[in-house]
Amino acid sequence: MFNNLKKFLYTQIYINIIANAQKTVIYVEELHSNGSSDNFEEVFNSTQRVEIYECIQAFAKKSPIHYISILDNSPSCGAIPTCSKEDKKLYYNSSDFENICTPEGWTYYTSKRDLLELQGHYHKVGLDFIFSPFIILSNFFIDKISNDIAMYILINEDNLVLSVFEDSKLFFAVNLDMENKDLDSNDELLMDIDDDEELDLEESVDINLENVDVDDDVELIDEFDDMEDLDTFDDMDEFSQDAIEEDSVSEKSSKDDFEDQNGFGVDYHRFSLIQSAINNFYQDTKYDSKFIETVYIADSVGISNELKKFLEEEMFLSVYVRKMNLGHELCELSKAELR
Amino acid sequence: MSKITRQSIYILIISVFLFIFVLVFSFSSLIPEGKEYRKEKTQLLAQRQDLQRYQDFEAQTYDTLKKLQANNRHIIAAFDKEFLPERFVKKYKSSFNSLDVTKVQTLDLEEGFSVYDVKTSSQISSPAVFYKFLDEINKSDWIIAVNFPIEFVRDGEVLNSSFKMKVYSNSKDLNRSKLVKK
Amino acid sequence: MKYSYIKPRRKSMLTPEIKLVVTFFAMTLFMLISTYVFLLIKNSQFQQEEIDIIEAKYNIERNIKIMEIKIIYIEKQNALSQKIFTKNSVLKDSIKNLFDLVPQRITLSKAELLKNGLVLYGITPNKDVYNFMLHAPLRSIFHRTYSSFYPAKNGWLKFVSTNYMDNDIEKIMNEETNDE
Repeated sequence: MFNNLKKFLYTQIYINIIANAQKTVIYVEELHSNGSSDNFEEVFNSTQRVEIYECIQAFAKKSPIHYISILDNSPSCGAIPTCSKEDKKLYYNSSDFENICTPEGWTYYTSKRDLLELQGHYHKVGLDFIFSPFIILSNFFIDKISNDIAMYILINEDNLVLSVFEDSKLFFAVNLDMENKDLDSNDELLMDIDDDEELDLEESVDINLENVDVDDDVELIDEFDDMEDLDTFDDMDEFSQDAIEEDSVSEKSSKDDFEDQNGFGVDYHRFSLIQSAINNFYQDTKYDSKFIETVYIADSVGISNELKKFLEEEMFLSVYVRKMNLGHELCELSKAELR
Repeated sequence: MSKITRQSIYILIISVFLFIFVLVFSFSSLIPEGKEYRKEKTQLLAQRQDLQRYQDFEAQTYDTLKKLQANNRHIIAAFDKEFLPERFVKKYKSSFNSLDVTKVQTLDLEEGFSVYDVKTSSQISSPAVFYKFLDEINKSDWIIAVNFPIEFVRDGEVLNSSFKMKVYSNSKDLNRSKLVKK
Repeated sequence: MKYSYIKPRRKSMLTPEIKLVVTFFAMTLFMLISTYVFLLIKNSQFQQEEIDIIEAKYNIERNIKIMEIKIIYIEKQNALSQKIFTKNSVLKDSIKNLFDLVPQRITLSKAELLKNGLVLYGITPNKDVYNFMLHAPLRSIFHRTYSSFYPAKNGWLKFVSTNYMDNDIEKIMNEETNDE
């Protein structure tokens, strides 16, 4: 009854903070007593601490019933497929980590020190909720995780959160941090590959032409009719002259080019991370590994088609991408928390 | 212009409510009570002064009463004393050769006092004794008035005298005696 | 907590501003109400005291009346006793005077003092002595005097002198006393 009175008298304000290395997003939802709601989204440079603080304060002042939630972006967060104390010890030292056990039997955790650091960072406004990206991911794909085994990835600005579910059971989860943003990271990864592997790659490239079956499919030929509609080499971003040349004609175009190049690089970086994570999943005896065929991606940043392509072509996975507004998801989780 | 927050409106509503309550309460209850307080206080002061006057007068009257009682102690006691012929005879026998008191008869109230009529017969050696007796009777334990008829009869060397006495004392009326006893 | 690592902070409907306003008004109301209660108590005290005063005054009045009655009574007693004492004194003086009146040569055998008269029985050597020495003064005092004589054994005369006063003897005696 008291709660109803509170809701009647005041607007409920949900302030959600997604703090990345470069930018900080403040997503606010105002829930009025008559049922209507308003959304606001503000993006700040993460260095603009004063402006961020003032923005949060401005919204918080509107009503005493306000909840400030933040996404736990710390590198130490993770999830494990067990809830029992003994098994947890295999993965991490329980005393240093704060963990929550879900009803489905898996636990997500984060370092206590990171939690305190986060609360300290926002001590001026105070925090009400801190959510793990793993629970956000599992809630986002709640309709899918009860199905056959699939991999679920949440793509954020600075990191990737990856988990493998089958029948609502967690098999594997990892937080992949994209520490280095430059293209050199790709080379680094390549350099990690053993010589043997490199040889293997070369071998796999050879195609025995004799084994190739030619499909005289009429439909395929029909597809070629549309070739006229296909982009020319020049039109394609990847093979665009501007993209390849490092020296640009104009600054503006070069900036765009750089971003495009970066986008490509970033996606590839992401792909590499995913790939190594999956390899880890298959090889590590700690996890019950099964063969993954499907990937669901929650895209909160706006990825290019490349990542999907990489995953489909390189790893032969069926990829489904769903756009996600992280702020909105945080907000929904806050409401669920209060119910 | 900044939007007026809901909280401000609530504060305003609460303030207005409370303010109205304060006003209503003050004017309907507080101020009349205050007026009555003033009125009662002055009234009470006057009453106290009046009481003081009463008390002073009471004290005065008491002083008067006490003085009277002190000054007239003998008379008051005499009026209160019951007349006993034996005692009378005993007291004055010495003056007379012989003394005899007869007939104590209660008469009607005279001036609010009950009166005993006493017939006395005595033998005296000379009238001087009688004169002395008359002097002494004023200082006696009772209020006695010597009354006519008085008879002197010579009998040789002595005089037989007989006279009437009226002994006054407080009325045996219940009301009166109560008051006296106080 | 279901999803969050931390518990949310307590949300109070009372913002600091509201609390301030309510505190201010609470203090004001407290002062008003305490004043009101004080006035109520004082007023009832006053009323009670008034009742007590009225009762006290009534008692005092009664006391005063009683004392006044006593005073009057004592004064009455005093007056009466004075009257009686005076009467006794005067009686004494009168009797003394009377017996002084009687000359040496006349001897009284009986004297009857009445309220409004005097009867003397005695013996006189002769009428002249009686008339001049006793009868004349008696006549001057009393309104009516009667004398009767009886011869005595030894040649003297026995007499009976009856004297009446039309007024109260006491009054006359009082007058006589004053004259003297």
